[in-house]
Amino acid sequence: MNEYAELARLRQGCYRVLSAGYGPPSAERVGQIGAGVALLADMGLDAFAHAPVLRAWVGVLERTPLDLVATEHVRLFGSGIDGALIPPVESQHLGENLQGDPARHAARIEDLMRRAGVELRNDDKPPDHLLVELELASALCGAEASDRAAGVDVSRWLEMQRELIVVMARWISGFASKVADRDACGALAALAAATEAFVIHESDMLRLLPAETGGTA
Amino acid sequence: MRWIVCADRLHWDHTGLDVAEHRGWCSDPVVPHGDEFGFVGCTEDLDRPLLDRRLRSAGFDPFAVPLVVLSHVDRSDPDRVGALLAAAETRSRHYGGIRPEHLKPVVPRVASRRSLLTFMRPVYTSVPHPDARTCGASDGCRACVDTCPHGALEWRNGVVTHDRLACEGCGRCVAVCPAGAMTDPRFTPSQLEAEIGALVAAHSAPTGILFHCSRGAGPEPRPGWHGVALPCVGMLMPHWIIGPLVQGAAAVAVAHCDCSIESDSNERATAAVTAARQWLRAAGIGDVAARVPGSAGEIPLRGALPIRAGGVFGAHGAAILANALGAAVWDSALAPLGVVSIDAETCTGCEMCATVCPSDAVTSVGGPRDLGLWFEPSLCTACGQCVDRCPEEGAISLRRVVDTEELRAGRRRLIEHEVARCVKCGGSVAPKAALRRIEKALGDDAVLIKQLSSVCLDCRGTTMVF
Repeated sequence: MNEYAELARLRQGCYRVLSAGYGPPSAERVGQIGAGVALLADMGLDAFAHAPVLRAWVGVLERTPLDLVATEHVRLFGSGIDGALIPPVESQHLGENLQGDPARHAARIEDLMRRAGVELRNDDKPPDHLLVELELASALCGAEASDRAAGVDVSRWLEMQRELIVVMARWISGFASKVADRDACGALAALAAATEAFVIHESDMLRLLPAETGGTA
Repeated sequence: MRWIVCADRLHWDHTGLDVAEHRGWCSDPVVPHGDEFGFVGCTEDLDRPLLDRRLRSAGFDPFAVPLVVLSHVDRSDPDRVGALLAAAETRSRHYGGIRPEHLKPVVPRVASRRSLLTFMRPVYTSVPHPDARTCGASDGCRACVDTCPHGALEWRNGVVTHDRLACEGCGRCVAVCPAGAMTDPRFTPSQLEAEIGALVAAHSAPTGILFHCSRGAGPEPRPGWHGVALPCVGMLMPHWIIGPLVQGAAAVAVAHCDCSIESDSNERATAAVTAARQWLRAAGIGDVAARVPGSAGEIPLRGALPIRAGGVFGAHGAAILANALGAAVWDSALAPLGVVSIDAETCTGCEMCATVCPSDAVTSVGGPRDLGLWFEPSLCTACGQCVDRCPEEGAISLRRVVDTEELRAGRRRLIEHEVARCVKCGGSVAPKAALRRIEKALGDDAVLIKQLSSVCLDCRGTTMVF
């Protein structure tokens, strides 16, 4: 596997670990997140600026009582879009006029999923939910890594990642600052800060990657 | 603070510093447990990316941990080493953390032998970014956008967007931001002031401060002088050059910039040095050539000025400095203060100047029958946004001047406009000057003119027929 394929695998892992944070908290999930970050560290995570924030999130998550995290998760993210204080949903943060906007944002992600050849296993989350977007980005990085390892042109995967991340980078900071203001347990604020750091880093890296690789392995 | 020091080229026995010596630390940088430590490298061979990785692995932000890399000149003088460490520690204590928007990844163009065996590793530099809470962009300010030599900043719909990859971190936007909203977390005004203060305090003998560009190789150290890094010397303003003199430094010089990223950096630095000398002369400081020499070591250092002031590197540092230096009138295109005046014939009282002014130097105050535009000279940074955004040519003008009489006089009214009253409710319609301007623009539409000039906005919806 070449160096850029390794990088794509690392990025894929970061997206997966972060997306796991937006799912319902459980002891098993917290363990998986901790193990995931340890694995990412073995893959070279510490070469990147977002590493301390990611580690800080895992530290807070492991220290905070699970019932507290679960309560905050429901209060902030989980009680349905209308009931949640800060739904981690793109259209809720980007849509100035919400009439029609949720559909527009969801359609954009669905179109991206269709072009990438992936589909949602269940429909309990809207396509523009942060968890879904992070999973999709992870899948795109995985496809990129496989193609790079096989020596196949990866420009289409990079283009799709850029399409996704450019929009996420527009709202993630506002989302993270709202979570930081309202999270009573600290773990979700740390998660949002880690997501913000990674997404902003990705929006720059995705502009650098094609220039350095020409889009091919 | 405990210092982890490389013991390869320096004996630390008699320095009196709290150090933990490590042989070969520069090639194998060990990160200890705990959170109150700094590092001293003895050689330029220090593997900085490896150190950064180890720091991140231990949960630290590499920019937060003080690191001093000693040159061969520094290594020979224990007092100098002590001063450098004190400055690095103070600077680190004033570091306020970094946000993701301030981090610019740079991928090395040429892969090193080591990186061929693994994936590319970016190195990070900090870049300025506006703080949306204090940025005046929503009111129309574009001072940073206008000064950026790389086109990295863009004003759109009241927001300044920043292209980190296009940004070269020259810092000019930081220097011109009238609201102090644009910051580079590694070079904040408080860090700069703390570092200079620590360097000066560490020596009983006169000390010179040599500003230099952080992106280049850095100047050769000179006895009696300490280098202070800035994003680039092209960002220097006259009051920043004078700043160390009112912190106790004996002299200030600016090193030639060799980074060559912006072609005019040295030209701008030279202009700022000339301007600083002019200001000092205007304030009656005698030995200006010795206080701000052309280069470090050109003239022997002498005692410090008997003037002290803090906060000179902040957004309103020029006014603080002007008050500290004493009576002066210094007219110059490079003066960091300004005096605004309004032409009563042309001004329509639209209040654009008061709206756009990012430092609230120009404000509007509405009374029952009039509208006044007021000016506070100590808040004006001569950014020129009021002149640039005024819709009436020649209505407002800015004189770039440091005038302590103006500062002493304080807030004053620039103009008072009579306001037309609504015939229906008695509320205010608009300044009469603005209505005359509208009348001129509308020409002979007498009905519309009458309605616009006699009925206020609240009542207009129910009475106007378009």
